[in-house]
Order: sequence, then structure tokens, then C-alpha cells
Amino acid sequence: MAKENPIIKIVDCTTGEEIERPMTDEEVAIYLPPVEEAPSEA
Amino acid sequence: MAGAGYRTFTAGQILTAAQVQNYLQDQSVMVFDSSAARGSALGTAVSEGMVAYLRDTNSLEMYTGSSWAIVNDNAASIPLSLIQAQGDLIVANGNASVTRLGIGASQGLLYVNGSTPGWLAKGTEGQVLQIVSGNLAWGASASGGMTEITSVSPTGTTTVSFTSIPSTYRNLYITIANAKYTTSNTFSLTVNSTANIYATSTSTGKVDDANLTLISNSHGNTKGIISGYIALKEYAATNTHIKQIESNIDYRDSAASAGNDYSATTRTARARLTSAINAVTITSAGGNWTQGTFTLWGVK
Repeated sequence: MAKENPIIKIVDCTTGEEIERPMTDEEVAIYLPPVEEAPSEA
Repeated sequence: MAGAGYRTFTAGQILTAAQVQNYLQDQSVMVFDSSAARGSALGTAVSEGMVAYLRDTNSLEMYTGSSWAIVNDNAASIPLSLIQAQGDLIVANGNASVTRLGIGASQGLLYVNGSTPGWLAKGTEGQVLQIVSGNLAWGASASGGMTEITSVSPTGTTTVSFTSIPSTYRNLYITIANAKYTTSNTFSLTVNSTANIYATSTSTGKVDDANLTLISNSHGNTKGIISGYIALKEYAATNTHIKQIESNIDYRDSAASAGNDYSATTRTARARLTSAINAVTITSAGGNWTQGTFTLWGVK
């Protein structure tokens, strides 16, 4: 069974609409990138 | 001729033609039907200081040595009786017509009301001068400060994304109150769903971090309660090559009360982005958020 991606809550600041759904793989790559090295400030 | 001065005649003295001409005629006020009649009558026999009254225009004129000039506008002369009190203003109310504008109340402003001058009474304490329905008026200052755009609980998610952020503010401000996520790890910020454009003030060289790490898991117990703020400056600008982001995040053990149980991380950072920020995403790398409130503010 494939692991489900983490949940993202998206708030539309113009309409006020909120939705929750699993992140896409692309979103995971952007928001939760694999840590390859320490960030620029420890 | 005019300008001959003043002469005192004595009894028995002979009155010469030149004296009549110079003292009586040329220095009196001559009356003509019009300037044309004056020209015909005088020809070149004019001299500086001559005075003539023209009946057609009711004007009193004097010869300057080169031309005739109006001594006053006659009908437009301002009667002293028009002035009634200190501070009165005399203003035109039509062609060659004047009227009195009494002084306004203390601290009033003189302004044009329609097509005439008028007084705008002073406002009240704290009011500012502004345009209301097209008219100059004192009133409360336009809304400023911080406006809450939206507020959301992140509970049950790892990631909260504010999207379609209006561009009508100057800065954005995100407050994080009493938030907490599952396991010790970092949490970070991303704008416009764009990675690899971030660097902090301590970065050296040409650094593009994947996202802006707001606290590192190397600090304290990040399972503790997190509060703080993130400021995104001039977020709607399109004329700069970066967006400045500042944050101060406080975190402490949820059960602790002693002062040394909490720490704070301050970031001064940039996102290498020329377009306006219209989305901000906050992500926990430590699992779901279990509590807290994220509030997005617009700052004028």
C-alpha cells in the first residue's frame, strides 16, 4: 500500500475557502525537500 | 503746462495767458466725452501729470508722459465701509465687483468652495484633512495598521498554505500562536510554491536554500509550544529582485515554566523573487501540527 503524502491545508485568502488534501508529490518536493545538507544557518 | 507747480496770485497782479494755461487749465481736471474726444482736443499738447475725466467710461486718467493711464477703476474702487471687522477679507464676486468675506472661526482654513472663497472650520482632535465624496473635509484617518486577512488552525496537517493573498497591503505579517507539532524537527516557510530561492543573513556565498527554515531541530525541544511572527516586507513589489523576510520564533517545552526552558530563533532572510508574493506556505517537517493558530495580517 502506497504511503499517503502529508496533509496540506490550503486557505484562499480572497474567498475564505479552506480545503484539506494530501499533498501531491510535487508539493512534497517543494515544501518538504529531502535534507541533503544543513541549511545556511544552523 | 501741467507740472508748473502752485502759484499764489496777489491783488492787482496781471494774469497772463500762460498762467491761465499752465496753472488753471493744464492742471485742472479736464472733462471729455471719450478718449477720442480728448485726443482731438489736446493733440500733442499733453504733458506728464495732466488729469482727464472720460464721461463714457467714468474713468479718471492721468498722462504719464507717454500715455494715458487710469488713476483708479472708478466703479471698482473699494469702499472702506465694506470692511467691518479685523480680519475681514475683500474678495471679488464678479467682474469689477467686490464683497466682504468675514473672518472665519479660529483655526479655520481659507479654501475655494465651488467658485468662491470660503472657510473650512477646523476639525476635531485627531482628524485629518481628506477628500470625502469629492469635497475637502476633516475626518477620521483612513484605516491603517494591521488588518486580519485570515486565521487558520493547522491541526491535523503538516502544511498550511495561504493562497490568493491580496496585494493591497504593504507588508504581510504572520503570527503563530501556541502551535505545536508531533516530533522534533524543523519547520519552514515557502513563498509562491517556489523552492531554492532562500538565504538567511548568515549565508555566505551564493546560497539558495530549498526553503526558509524558521527554527532548526538542533535548538531545544521543538516539540514544545511555538509562538512568534514572520514579516514579509514589500511583498507585492515587482521592482525588486528579492523579498525580505524576517521572523522571530519562540519555542519552549510545553510543560516548562522556568525561563531557561525556552529559546528563540531570529531570521533575517531573503527570497530571490521579483514577482509579488501571493502565497505563503508553512510546513512542519516534524509531522502534523497538533495545536495552534496561524493568522495572516495585512499591514498598511
